[in-house]
Amino acid sequence: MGEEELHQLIRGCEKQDRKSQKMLYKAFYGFSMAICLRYTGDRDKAAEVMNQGFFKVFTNVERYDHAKPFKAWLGKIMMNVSIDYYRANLKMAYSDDLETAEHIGDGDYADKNLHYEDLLAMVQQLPHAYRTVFNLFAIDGYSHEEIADLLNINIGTSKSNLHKARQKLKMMIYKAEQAANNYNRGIDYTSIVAINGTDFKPAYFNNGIRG
Amino acid sequence: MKKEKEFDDIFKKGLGDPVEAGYQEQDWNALEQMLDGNKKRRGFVFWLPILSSAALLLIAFGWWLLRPETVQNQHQRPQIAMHQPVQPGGAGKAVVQSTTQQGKVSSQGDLTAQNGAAVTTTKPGINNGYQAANNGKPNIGLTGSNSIPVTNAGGGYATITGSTQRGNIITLAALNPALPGSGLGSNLSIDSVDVKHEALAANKPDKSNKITTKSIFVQHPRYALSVFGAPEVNGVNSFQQTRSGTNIGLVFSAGLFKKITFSTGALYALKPYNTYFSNYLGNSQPGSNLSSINADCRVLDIPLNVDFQFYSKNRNSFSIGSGLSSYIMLHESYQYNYTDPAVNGSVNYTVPNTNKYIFGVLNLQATYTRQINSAMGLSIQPYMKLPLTGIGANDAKLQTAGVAIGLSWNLNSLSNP
Repeated sequence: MGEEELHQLIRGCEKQDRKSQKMLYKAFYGFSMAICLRYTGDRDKAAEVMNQGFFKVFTNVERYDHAKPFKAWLGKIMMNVSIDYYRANLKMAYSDDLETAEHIGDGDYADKNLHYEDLLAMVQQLPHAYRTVFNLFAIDGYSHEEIADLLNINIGTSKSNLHKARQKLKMMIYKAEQAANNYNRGIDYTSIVAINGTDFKPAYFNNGIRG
Repeated sequence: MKKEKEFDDIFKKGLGDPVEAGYQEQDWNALEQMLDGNKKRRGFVFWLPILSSAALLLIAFGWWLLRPETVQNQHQRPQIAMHQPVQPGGAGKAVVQSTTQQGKVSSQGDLTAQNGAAVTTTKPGINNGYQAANNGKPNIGLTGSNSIPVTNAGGGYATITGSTQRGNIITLAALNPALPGSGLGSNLSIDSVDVKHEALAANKPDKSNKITTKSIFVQHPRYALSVFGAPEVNGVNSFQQTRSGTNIGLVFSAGLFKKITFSTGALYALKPYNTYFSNYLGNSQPGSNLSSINADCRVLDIPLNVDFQFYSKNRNSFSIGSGLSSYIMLHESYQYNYTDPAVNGSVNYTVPNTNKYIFGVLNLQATYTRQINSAMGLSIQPYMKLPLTGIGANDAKLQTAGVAIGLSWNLNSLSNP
């Protein structure tokens, strides 16, 4: 989408034109959803939060400064509504079932060949409080001071949650590796059984003929 | 720290290159509902009292429009109360004088009965001769020994029924006739006389009076077919004396302009009504409050209406409209009731012909429509139908008010599934 087309759409949104709103929504659906997906536990919640974000966009679009990049403004709003979502679920956010992963060393994760879906699934499995801090710190680049301010928590809590988030993620990566290894072995084993079975059947039939 | 940074970067890089989430229309629908809901709640709450008031005003206006007319009629209409001794068995002549409240006494006629009493009633304007037969059935088929049907030979109104009762007092509720009647006995007196408009007897069947009104549905889709039903009330000249009727039909509407919708259709309406004799005859005749008429009319209403949509947000829309209806009378029958207990029951009469009244009724309606989905809509429509001309065998001014409930089908959804 060209800049001119984008600003035309935004002007349409300023007039509350429904068609313009829908075109803008579709154009930035993927971008917005990607942000909300990593702040929320699943796709349904992500869509819910994203719609809250777009609702704010459409009802406050006149505040958008056309001189600045729209995508950054939109991303900021999506992040804000994600934080709102965190606040709304504050009671559940601190449920701590921390499974210590201290025994897992700092291996080299760069060559783990983890794809987007894998990483997203892991982040989404994090407890809400850890997930939010990890997103803000590791991906969106906020400092602990800023996170503490945004989430109305102590800096120490922010650091602690970040640490616990990492430990959990490492545990998930470790478990994923284990599962992958088992899966690979399972494949081998299964194929052997199949070969054996195939070998066995002709023998049986031959025996039967002879008999 | 460096290890942690590297670890974080795996996620930052991996999640920073997202697999595009597939757009889902249902997500947009949810957002649209949020956007609509925000305005809808505010808009609806804001408009609801205004629209309710508008609908009530529409009804009240119609009520008011008709009520004063009725009151005025009662005052203008000469009230005839005649108390005149009739000599039993005599050949003499009893003269009945009527007086009008307005001080006008128009004419006097002679009423002769077989028993020898002659009664003269007054009636402004009409000097038709009326024949009354006590036992008979003038052309109306009145029965009962105490009733005297009167036929207007000149083509005007028809029947006068008289009743005998104690005393020599005659009360004439009717107008101008000279009534040759048959007497009953020596102590015959006519306590009341009911005049009935009888088109048959008058050799003017085309004069049948019928009053009906009908509701129309207008939908805001561009092209829509609507089915509706409505309970309604019918009254003559006013809604002071009403009976409930029913209305069901099919209406096609076309939104040819942005806010303007034209509609037409076919509506079958059952329009029973009661009225006092005076109302039934309208302004042209004086009447009596002593008798009433029950009418049963079935009408095919063909409306042609224009509606203006003045509010439309989200799924809700409101419109007001007006138009004209043509009536095709499918069935028309009357029952005449006599207040005199001596009268033997009531008299029925069915108009055999069907008549048409082109654009004889004014329609007023307010419509609230809520779209259930893109194809279907639900409407609630208070309406009123006011007569522009007399309808039916007796030119009665019958009006109808009701609230129609309908289901509309947006025909455009056929081409845009």
